[in-house]
Parts: sequence; structure tokens; C-alpha cells
Amino acid sequence: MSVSRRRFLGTSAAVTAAGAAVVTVTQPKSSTAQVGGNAPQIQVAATPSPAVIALNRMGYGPRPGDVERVRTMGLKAYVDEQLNPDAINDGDCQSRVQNARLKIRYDSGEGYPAKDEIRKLNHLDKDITDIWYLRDWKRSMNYRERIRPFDEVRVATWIRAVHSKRQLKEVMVEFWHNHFNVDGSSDASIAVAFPAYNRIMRRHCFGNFRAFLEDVAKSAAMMYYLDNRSNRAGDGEGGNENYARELLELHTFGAENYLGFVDNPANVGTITYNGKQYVKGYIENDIFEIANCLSGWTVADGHWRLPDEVANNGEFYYFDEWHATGAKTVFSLNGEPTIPADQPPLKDGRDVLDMVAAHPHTARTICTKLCRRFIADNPPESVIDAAVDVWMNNLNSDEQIKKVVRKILLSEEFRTTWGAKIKRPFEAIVSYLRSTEAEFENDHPERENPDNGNNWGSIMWRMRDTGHKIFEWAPPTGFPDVAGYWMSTNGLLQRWNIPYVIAQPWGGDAQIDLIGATDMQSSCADIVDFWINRLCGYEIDAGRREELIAFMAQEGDPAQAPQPNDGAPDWKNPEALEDRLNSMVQLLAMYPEFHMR
Amino acid sequence: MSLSRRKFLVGCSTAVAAMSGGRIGQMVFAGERSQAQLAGTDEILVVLFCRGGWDALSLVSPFDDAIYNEKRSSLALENPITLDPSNNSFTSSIGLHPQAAPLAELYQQNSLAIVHACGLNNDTRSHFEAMDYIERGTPGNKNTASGWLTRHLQLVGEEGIIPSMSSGAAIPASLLANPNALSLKSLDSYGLSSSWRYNHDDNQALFEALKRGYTGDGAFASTGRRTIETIESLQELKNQNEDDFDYTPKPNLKYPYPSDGAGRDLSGALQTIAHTIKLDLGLRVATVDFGGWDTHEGQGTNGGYFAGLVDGLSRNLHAFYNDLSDYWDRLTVVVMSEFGRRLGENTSGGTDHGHGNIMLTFGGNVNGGKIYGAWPGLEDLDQDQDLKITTDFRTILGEVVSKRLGNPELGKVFPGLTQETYQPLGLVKGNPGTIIF
Repeated sequence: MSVSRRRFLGTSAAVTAAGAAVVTVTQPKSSTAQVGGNAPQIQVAATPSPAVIALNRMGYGPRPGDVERVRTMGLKAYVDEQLNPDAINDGDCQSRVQNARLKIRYDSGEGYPAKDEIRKLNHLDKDITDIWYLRDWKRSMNYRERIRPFDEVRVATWIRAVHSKRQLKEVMVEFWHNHFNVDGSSDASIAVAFPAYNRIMRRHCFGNFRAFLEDVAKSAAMMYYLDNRSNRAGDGEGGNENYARELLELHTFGAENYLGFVDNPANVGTITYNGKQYVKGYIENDIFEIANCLSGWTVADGHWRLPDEVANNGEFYYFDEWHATGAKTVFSLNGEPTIPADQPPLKDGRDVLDMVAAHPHTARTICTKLCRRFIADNPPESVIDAAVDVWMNNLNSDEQIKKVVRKILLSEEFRTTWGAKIKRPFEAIVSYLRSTEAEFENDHPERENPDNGNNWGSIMWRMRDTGHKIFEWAPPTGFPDVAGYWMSTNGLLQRWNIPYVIAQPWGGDAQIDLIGATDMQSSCADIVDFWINRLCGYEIDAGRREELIAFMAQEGDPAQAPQPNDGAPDWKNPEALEDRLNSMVQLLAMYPEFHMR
Repeated sequence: MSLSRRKFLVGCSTAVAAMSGGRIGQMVFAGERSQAQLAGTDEILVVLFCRGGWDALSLVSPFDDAIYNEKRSSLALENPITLDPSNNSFTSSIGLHPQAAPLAELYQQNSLAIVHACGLNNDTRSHFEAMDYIERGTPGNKNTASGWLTRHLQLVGEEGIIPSMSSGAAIPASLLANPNALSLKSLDSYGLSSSWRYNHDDNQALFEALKRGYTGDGAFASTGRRTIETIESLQELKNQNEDDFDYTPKPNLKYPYPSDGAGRDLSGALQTIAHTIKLDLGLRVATVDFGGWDTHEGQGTNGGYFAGLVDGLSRNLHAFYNDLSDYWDRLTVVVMSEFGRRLGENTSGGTDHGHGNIMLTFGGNVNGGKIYGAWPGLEDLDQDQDLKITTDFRTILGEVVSKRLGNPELGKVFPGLTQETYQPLGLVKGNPGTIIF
């Protein structure tokens, strides 16, 4: 790969036609720079204050007053507050979730009537055993009823992202949903299992990784998504290895520690961490053997091979008859079996989870992802090393993850890095809603048009076009967390349009009162600065600021309050000023500074 | 098509988007090797990637092979459409999945060629590694900074309004680091949404201020400029083609959309590509994804889930290909997946990750009606469990690039490819001249 990369990426000069006055050449820092690296996404006029950085990176962006509050209390106090979410009174957000109304609408079908109803989010706190019947195909009901639990989790997630004071917790829950990705739309059983799955993320987001991993492994959502529920030793070629493979590749060791086929496991080699030896990586044989260890881990779901006395209720079930009983060679340093034959129920699988959770590769893979979430697409090794250290020293702590996150958030790298990370579409729109103090409008019964009043549906439809409809990433990797993926002409167009669209009656009907928050008697320049401060919280490019001021003034004096034009497009109509203000704020939200985090 | 031909040329991946005068029409993008444009100037390549690792042995199946039937005791293909492979290496009959009847028709018309036992010659059984190796065009190195299609386009240059596109929400790795490449879901909905007062034909204050504000360095800024150019170009097109900008395929085609089922999204994505081709926007390379092939459980080869996927794929491809019958002489479609699945089925009625694979190639210049490649049989398996690979995927793509797209610099498109590995099969027509490694 020596030939041409420099020519492609490094040294070519721009070729321009006559008339091109300015040529912009952005060069990667080195020939190995990757898309999604730390080449700045924009030139930044100024690095924001630590308070602005914190609110954008350990939360979904500031609401009015937040920056001042964090500045006053200090970053360390804010981090510690956010790391203890239960101590934060979040009653306002909780009542918003309780008061949320989500439409369900479908035509009649065999055995059920048509429905067009507005309902609460009734399934969020329900035990899986109470709602498992929704996936029973013998019961007549519309598919929308079956997947309703999933739809409700998603709406609650939006409300919490916008309104919760426990911002770091919401960011961590989103992080773990992507780390342990399950596409909630892929299967009715998964949709029904989604509230329970979401609760696992919420319960363990700051907790102990080993305990977290076992709850995920046993969850119906993961069991169905990566098929371990049908991992059965016996006839045929072998058990189902889908989960075993992704457990190593995505949830723990990481793909960079995949060594492929190695004929003799004794030849794999070792690494040393803190004086202790570990296997160097994982090989195909480890995947086969781990699949064997996890065979029999299934869901009490009425599968015809399960004993009749087993309930059909969505809970975890260990079925001894499906379990491979022989000795297994997992991460062996000498080629000998590491897991003896005929262990007690669940022991093989738990041994595997112990091994992967305690391995330094797992620590590094997850700490790197956390640093990528909180700092930069390619985070500095120094902060990863520090986080790995905390992780490995707290393998048995109930607050393992909390301690790691604290280390990252209080690092020098966290508070000094800016401009190397962009908001993903969900984060961009949520931060816009926060900074403008938007209120979601509940779904309501049809008025003139049956498609009206379907506000959440409209928002989800639009998010699908952005490519960031949360909880619907099909492959098990989770949504990408590097800018390179999101940097596309579709992605930018969608994020430019949503601030306008989401406030329209047909686009989500979010209630956003920009003019009510603005002193329209102040100068155009002051109005612009007010909104720059609200949306970005830091200085933006001077040329862009001038554009915003000129836009706000149109033909008038920027040092004066905005006035409607005599002619087109205002025709002296004072109401035109609201359109102008709304468009100016949209323009600000389209400019690059707003999209950095 | 009244659009005046506007040209813009690209120097290299990083130079782009010097919006400068602000008009796309003022930009000139020159290829690194402009003479390479001579042969393939008007050629269009569409790459459809079936994500998840499709079960090649159920799609193009050695259905009467004894080992196959033993290893696939519950999943062996039933009622195949027997094909004449015109290939002596096969040790069994070979047949297409019955839901692939639309593809069989194209095969009989010699428009479709199949390569069997091909793929990525690397041990990995990971989806994500395999896709990276393939799409970045560098087996064994998943950190290559650009995609293989990007490198091809940089060599031949890009001109026109939409020279390269991904029909979907994002850009695949094969087009990585190509700032010209557009991602879009439809042409007619591509535009700015905002208050009418400052965003309509007679008052473009918002758009102009957006455009003037997108200056400066950095990927976000340059992608923004490319987005602005695209809005502007498509708006101009819409103004000129108001009556027929909504896409209407040729009559009597059977795109599955808007009916439900697998392939519904694919249908919309392929129609967006067909629309772009017919509008003559300079399209040279388009990519599109079709996911859902990771059939570990309840595969449903016959009449089940997999059969539905094959149905969606086949009807879409058939419709797409016939929709573009006026372009057959310069259209090549390649359909691929990251790997084939394991020969032996697992205990959940599915198949795990495997190795040897198939690729499909359509086009007016494809030497179709034949199954290419040396069939390795099912006795001697890769890692004792998977179909072996006898043709490197780069050989197939390299043949299309060199013979159809007029770019002989395969050593740059696929760094590390050697004369030894590149053994073209005669899959497509064309004279590539001397291949440069």
C-alpha cells in the first residue's frame, strides 16, 4: 500500500478552473490519517469553556442557564453530580414521560377492529412476563400492538434526552445500547423484550461490567437478536455461534484481537498486563468452544423442544438437554482444555463471561469506545491508558464503570479537546430542542386529516431519513461514533432541515417559541449574539456571525432593532419578523459550529 | 434533457469543494490519469452489496451433490431452476433458487454471468472485517483510508452533477474519502426546508447566507459545500423539468415497491439510481445496500425468510435492469456479499459464517449465460468446513474496472494486487490494454 496513498490524499494540489478565487486544500496530518480521524471538522474561532464542552459531551447540549450553572459549580462538582443520577431530582422529566401520549392507529384485520387511539406509554415498567403474550401469534392482533413496547421505549428515550437532568446517565444508556446493539424493529419478540432490555442498560450503565454482561447475555432481546436462544448442541454441524462471535468481536475483546484460524491453540501466544499473563487474542476455535459453553442458554418461549412445564413468558431459561457437556478449550495458553467436562448448570457460560470480562483487551476496547464517545474520534492513548488502569483495578467493583467514566471526564484531554467530534443526527436535533426550550406536542386524535396528530410518527419518519433512527441499527455494531460515517450530503441536508421540519404541524409539531424568547426591540446584532450564545455557547466564525446579522437586518440597520421591509418579501408586515427570526436561528443551526461536540 | 452540460473536475480527494465562485459549473476536476477516461467515459457501474453474508450455496446451488445434501439435511434447496453452467469444472448439477426465476431469465438471455467459488481470500469470518477488506479493496488491511471505488474515480476523474452516489442514508466504505460522492434517498425530495418567506424562487436569502457561511477548512465544511452544490444543481434541474421530475419507471416493470416484503427499500434505492441515470447527470458509479442476509437461525431456504430475500432481490434486479434497457451498452451491475455461509447447517435451522461465495454480474457487455470459476467441489473444504475460493474478488472487479471502465491501473485501485492473482475470466467484453500493477 505504498504506491499511491500520498498522491491520493496527501500532496495533490487542487486544480481549479478560471474564476475560482479561493482554493481550499485540507490535508490529512499524515498519509495514514483515516476518515473519521482527528483532522478538525471545522476551523474553530475559539475553544469553548469547559462548561460548554461538558454539557455537549457528557450530555445532549446546554439548556438555557446550564452553562452558567456548571461554570459556577465547577466541572468536577458537575461530573460528580452527574455520576450519581439517583440523587438528582428528575421529577419534571418523569412526569413528562408519564404524561406522554403516543398514537396507535391501524386498520381492522382478521380478529381485531380498526384502532385510532392515543395512549400512554403503558409498557415501560412492565415485567417482560406480563407483556410476553403480545408476541403470541395465536392471538389475533395488529402488528403495531405487538411492537408497541418498543415504540414506547423510543419515545421515552427522546423525552429523557431532551428533558432529563440526568444527562450523563442518558448518554451512557445510549452508549450501552449501541455497544450491546439490538435492532428493536427486527422481530416482534425483540420489540416486546425491549423495555426489559432498556432497563438492563439503565440499571448497569455505571455499574460492574461482568454483572452487566451476564444480564445482557440472558436477556430475551439479545437472545433473539443474536440467536443464542436456539444454540443447541447436538446433531448437525454444531450450535449457533452468532452470539459467541459477536460477544468477542463487539462486546468484549474487539475485532483487532481476532487472530482467525490457528491450528494449534497452544501457538496463540500471550500478553502480559500488570505482571499477569493473558491469551494474546481469540481464534476461530475459541468461538466454536464458547458457543458450546453457551449452548442451552435460552428463553422460556414455548419452543417445541422445551419441556412442557416450562412457562412461555420470555424469561431466561437454561436447558440442560441442549448443553454440550464435554470439556472446552477456551483461551488456552497451552492447548489443554480450560473448561472441564460436566460442570454444573450455567457454569461453563459463566466461566466464559468471567474470562472475557477480566481480560485487558476488553478493558481497552471498551475504554477506547468510551473515550471516543466523550473526547474525540481518535482519542489520545494517554487517557485510554488511564481509563484501562481504572477498569482493571476495579473488576469486582459495583462502581467499576462509574470510576472509569469519572477518570475520563476529569482528564485534561476531556476539557481541552474541541472540534474533533460532531453531533450525530439524534444528538444534533436533541441539542436544538434543548437550547430552544422546545416542548414535544403529544399525539392527538385526527383532526381534518387522519395523518395529522401523529407527531412522534413524523419525527421517527424524519429520523429514518437521517440514518439515525435510534434503536434501529440492523447490524450488531451499533451506530458508528466517528464523523466520517455521518459526513454525507444526505446527512447534512437532513440535519439542516429538521429544525424547521420538526416544528411544523406535519413534521412533529414541536412547540418552539423563538420569538417569545427574544427581545425583538434589541439590535439585530444583539439578537444574533443572544442566539449564538444559546445554541453554541461559544464564539463562532466572524464571517458567519456577520452573515447572521445581515440576515436579521435584511436591508435595515444591524445596529437597530429589525424592521419589516417595505417591499418583498415582508410588505411592511410585522409578522414577517417572526419568519425572519425563525429562519435566522435555523441558519445558525445549519452552520458548522452548532454541530460540533 | 435540456440541461446544459456543466462540468466540474476534481483534482484529488482533498481538493474538492473549493466552492470559490460558488458555482458548481465553474469547477474543473481532472483525473490523475486523464487518458484513462478515453475507454470508459460513458460507462456506468452499479455495485449492489448484500450485507450479512448471503448463503451462496442456496442461491446458486450444487443441488444434487451428495455432500451438499448430507450437510444441508433440512436446508437443501428444493425445486431449483437448473442452469447450464457452460463450465466443465462442476461435479454436480447447478441450479438457481426458484425465487430467482427473474434472474434465470436474464441468465438465459446472456445478460447475467455468475462467478462461483469466489470471494475474499482471507481467513476472517467476521462480517465487519470482511466488508472492510472488500470495500477498501485491500484484503488484510482494514485501515486503508479510501475505498476501491474512490481510488478508481480519482484515477479517471469525475464530471457532471452526480458522478458518484450511494443510494441511501450514508456512504459505504467502497466510496470512503471521496468527497464528491453523494448520498441521497431521492432526487425530488432533495432540497432545503424552511420558512417560505426567505426560501423560495424569488427570495433565496436563507440559501445564499448558508452558502456564503460555508467557508473554511475541515471535512464538515467541505461536505457542507458539496451539499449546497447539490441542492443548487437539483433545484435548477427541477426548474427545467418540473413536469417529469417525479420518477416514473418504464411501464410493465415489476419493482416490488410499494408492496411490502423484503426488498421494499431496495426498490426505492434502485429507482433513485435509475432516475439519476436517466436524467443524464454524469453518473459513473453508484452503490446500494440490501441487508438482512445473516441467516444464523431459521434460514428458510425453501419458502421461508431466505426465499423472501431472494424474491425481493431478484424481482428488483430484473425490474432495474429492464428499466434501463436504453443504457445496456454502458451499464454493468455487480452484486456481491461479504462471504458465503458454511456448508454444514447448524442446529437452529440456519447457517453460520462461511467462506467461498458467488458474484453476479449483469450488463450489455457481460459475457452472460455462463457460470465462471473453477469449482473446487465439496470434499476438499476451506478450514475443513467451508467452500473454497478459487477466484479472488479483485479479479472480477478488476476486470470490470479495466475492460469496462477504461482504467488499467489495477495496482492503484487494489493496492497489493499482483499479476499472479489477477487472472481475468473473460467475464466482460473490452480491451483493457496493458494492466498496470
